[in-house]
Order: sequence, then C-alpha cells, then structure tokens
Amino acid sequence: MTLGGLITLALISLKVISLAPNITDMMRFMGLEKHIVGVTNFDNFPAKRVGAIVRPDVETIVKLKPDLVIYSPLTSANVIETLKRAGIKTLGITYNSLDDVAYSFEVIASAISSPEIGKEAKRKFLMELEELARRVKGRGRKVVVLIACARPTAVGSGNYIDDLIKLAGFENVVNRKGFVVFDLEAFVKLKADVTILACHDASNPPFIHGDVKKVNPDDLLRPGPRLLNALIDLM
Amino acid sequence: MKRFIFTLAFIVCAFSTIILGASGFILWGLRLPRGILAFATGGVLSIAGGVYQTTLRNPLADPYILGVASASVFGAVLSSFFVPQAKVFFSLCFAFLTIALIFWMATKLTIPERLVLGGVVLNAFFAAMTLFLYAIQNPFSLADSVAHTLGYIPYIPLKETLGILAISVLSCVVLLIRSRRLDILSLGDDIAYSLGVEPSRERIIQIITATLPVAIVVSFSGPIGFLGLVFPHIVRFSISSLNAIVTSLSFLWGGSFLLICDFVARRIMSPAELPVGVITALGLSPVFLWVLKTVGFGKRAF
Repeated sequence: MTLGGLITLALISLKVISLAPNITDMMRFMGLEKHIVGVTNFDNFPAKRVGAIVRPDVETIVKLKPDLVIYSPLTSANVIETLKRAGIKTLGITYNSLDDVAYSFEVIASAISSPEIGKEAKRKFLMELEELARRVKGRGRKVVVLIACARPTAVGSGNYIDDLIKLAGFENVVNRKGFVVFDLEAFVKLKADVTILACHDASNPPFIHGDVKKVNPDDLLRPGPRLLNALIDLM
Repeated sequence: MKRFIFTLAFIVCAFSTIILGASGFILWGLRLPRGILAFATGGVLSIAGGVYQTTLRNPLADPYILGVASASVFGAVLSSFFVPQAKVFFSLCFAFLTIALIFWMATKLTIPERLVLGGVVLNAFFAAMTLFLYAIQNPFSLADSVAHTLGYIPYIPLKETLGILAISVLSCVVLLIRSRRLDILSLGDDIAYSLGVEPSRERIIQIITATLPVAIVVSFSGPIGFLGLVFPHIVRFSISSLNAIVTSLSFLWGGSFLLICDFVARRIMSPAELPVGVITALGLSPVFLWVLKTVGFGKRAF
C-alpha cells in the first residue's frame, strides 16, 4: 500500500460530530456526510443524537470517540472546553457575514478532507447564490426581514442575512446593527415595500406594509447551503 | 441513629450516581468533578437559605433574596457582549459587587426586614438590567447566557471543583462554629444583645459567610431554585431547629439531593439535558408538602 493509500484510509475513517444543523448541511453539500457519526437533536441527518445545540451531552460525545467535533457559536463554551480536556479536537465556525458562511466550507473541508474540496464547494455555493440572487430581482426595493413575528424582530445590518438580501438587490430598511425588536408603531413607520417573514411563530404582525414574502425559517436561519432555498422562496 | 443512617444512605446513594456505568475519562474527567460541584452547590444553597431565614426573620428567604443570583445572571448575560468565554468571571464579579452592596446595606439597615427590602431592590434592578440586555442583544449570541439563567451544573476541571468544595466546607464549618450565636440571634435582637451577641455585627458576619460561596456556585451553575428555601425548613420540621443541626444536615441533604437531581436531569431525556432546577422543584414539592402535612398532625417527618 502506498503512502497516499494510507492517508486516504485515515481520511475515510475520520469520525466527525456536527453540533449544528447548518454544519451538517455544509458537510452534505461537500459530499463529506460519510464522516458524520453524531448530530444534534435538531438535525435531520440519520446519525446518533448527541443532545441540544447549546448544551449537548458531553458523555455521549466522548463515548462516540470522534476525531473532530465541529461547533457553531451557539454551543456553550463550557462544553467545548470540556471536550478539549477530553483530548477531542474541536473546530468552531462563525457566520457573522455571508463571506464567513462561504469560508466555512473551506475550514470544514480542510479539517476533514482536503482544502480543494472546500474551495470547490465555496465556489459552487457562491456561484449558485449569485445566480439565484440575480433572479430574485430586488430592484432596490425597501425590505424588512422578520425572524419573529408576534414581537416583530427584524434583521438589522452586519450579519449574513443582511448580506443575502443586499445580494438579492433589496435595501434593508433597518439600519441598526444586529437584530432589532420593534414596537408595532415603529414597525409600521418603517414603510417597507416588501416584508419577508421567516418566523417560527404562527401569528403575523397585525400591520404589514407592502408585499409579503414567506420564507422557510429553517432555510434562512441555517447559514449554509439552505440559503439557496431561501433565495428560491424569495423569487 | 436512624437519622444518621438515613443521612449516610442518602449520601452513598447520591455519590453512587457518579460511578453508574462510567469509567476512564467519563468517570474522572466528567462525572466526578461535576458530581462534586453539584454536591457543593446543593450544600451551599441549602445552608445559605437556612442562615438567611434566621437572620432576616423571613421564612420565605432563599439564597437569592438579597440579589446575588440576579447580579450573577446579569454578569453572565453581559459577558456575551464582550467575552463570552469569560462568563464565569463576569458572573463572579457582579456577584461579589452585590456582596459588597449587601455589606454596605447591612451596616446601614440594622432592621432585618429593611435589609430584605434592600435585597428586593437589588434583585429588581439587576433583573431589569438583564431584560434590557436581552432586548438589545443579537438573539443568536444569547443562547449560552440564557442556558446559564436556567441553571445547569457545568463540567469544570477537578482542581477547580475541589477548590469550590473546600470553600463550601469552610463556610459550613465557620457557620457551625457560630451556630450558637445564630440560635441566640433568632430569639430577637434585644435578647441577643443581653446575652452578649451584637445583633447587627453578627447578622453581617453570618450573611457574608453564607453568601460568599453562594456567589461562587451561582457563577458556575446559574440560579438553581427551591433547595435553599426548602431544605432548612425540612430539617427544622423533621429534626431540630438548632442551627448547628440545620446547617450541617441542610448541607449534606441539599448536596446529596442536587447530585441525584443532576443525574436525573442528564438521564431523563438523554442525550438532551434538562435544567436541574426543574428537577429540584418537581422532586422537592411533593416531599415538602408531605413534611408539612406530617408536621400538621404534630408528628416528626422522619
């Protein structure tokens, strides 16, 4: 057996636990799902459940003897420190911007397989994203994106959702950084041309100005390949 | 003798949950430190409840009545804005700040009822500040802080856990040494004064000694409710009102009970983990009602 063969064998047997559904989505997008041995309870992938995203069960993770645990900023720092003490390699990904989301493909692929797979996935993801964004035709219309409807919670600036709607040609009417909870009066005064609803709560805000577009919240709130579906919903 | 055997069996039963089906790192690196922390936390909260109830002359007093937990939670949520990894440090800073405020209040407000009202003000202030932070913070970065406010026993290194246990035991020992003075204090300030105990000074010493370890455990585990309120009463109703017994048995029973609750919280919906405070309240409510009912018939509960 050649050295290359040995390395390949080692890569095939690499066991990975994904501590967020969007990480699992990214791995599947890159064809790396065969490495997944554990996922959170909120995941759709058929693998051993290791508990919640914020506080997964450390004992279950340790018993699975993973080579790598990939986590999002949602997971408790205490859990990650404990895994490190157990001698388990960990990898954190961030998604403060759309660039972060795209870069995560490279980071994950480099840790599991080869950087080339990540670069190729990133290129494919960005290409499809731009193509779909062009077809959404935002045309500079003013938009507000709600991630909670009963108490209108809007997406502000400086995050990947803001980047996505700008890429689709919309103008975000919420200029404040982060996520903003509005009172109804202030919400009505926003006078957006389009209101995008990505809410898990059933009730809509009572007053919506302009057009309404509904997006599957799982597509918009899982920063990964599902963002492509969110753009399809926006067409 | 019966009560000694009951206590011993309770402790053995609680600590056996640590070794159940565990070996290697899971036993030594995860279960043991977490188990010791749960024991120390339960013990500290229970003795603090007892001390507060006597010094503040309020049967509803729990370890959080003077605002330490609210301040600690505020620190944890505030840390998510700056350094999320330093949650415990922020938590600890604000808990100690509150202890300083309690100390200052206790020197000014010599009537215990007024001190309770001062505590209510601190509680309300820090709770409002925490809600303010919730309103302005990105919901995605709040997950860890919100989990902290629900009360979970974290995994921390064994060395740190042993340090916390040592502080808890030390606080328990100091309170045991001064338990006679607490008995005298419970008779009222005038009688205490005539028996050579300076009430205001003694109240401050007792409260600060009980609150220091509470600040530490709450910074690690978040506010775990009900233990501190209930265990001192259970000991008083079932065995004795002497503070030496209330303090020592509250520590051992409360610690053992939280250790068992933590085991249940991890197991009942495994691999998902429930906040341990849910289990303590669910488990203790029927026990406490039974104790109250038994006492109502003029019997001892145990």
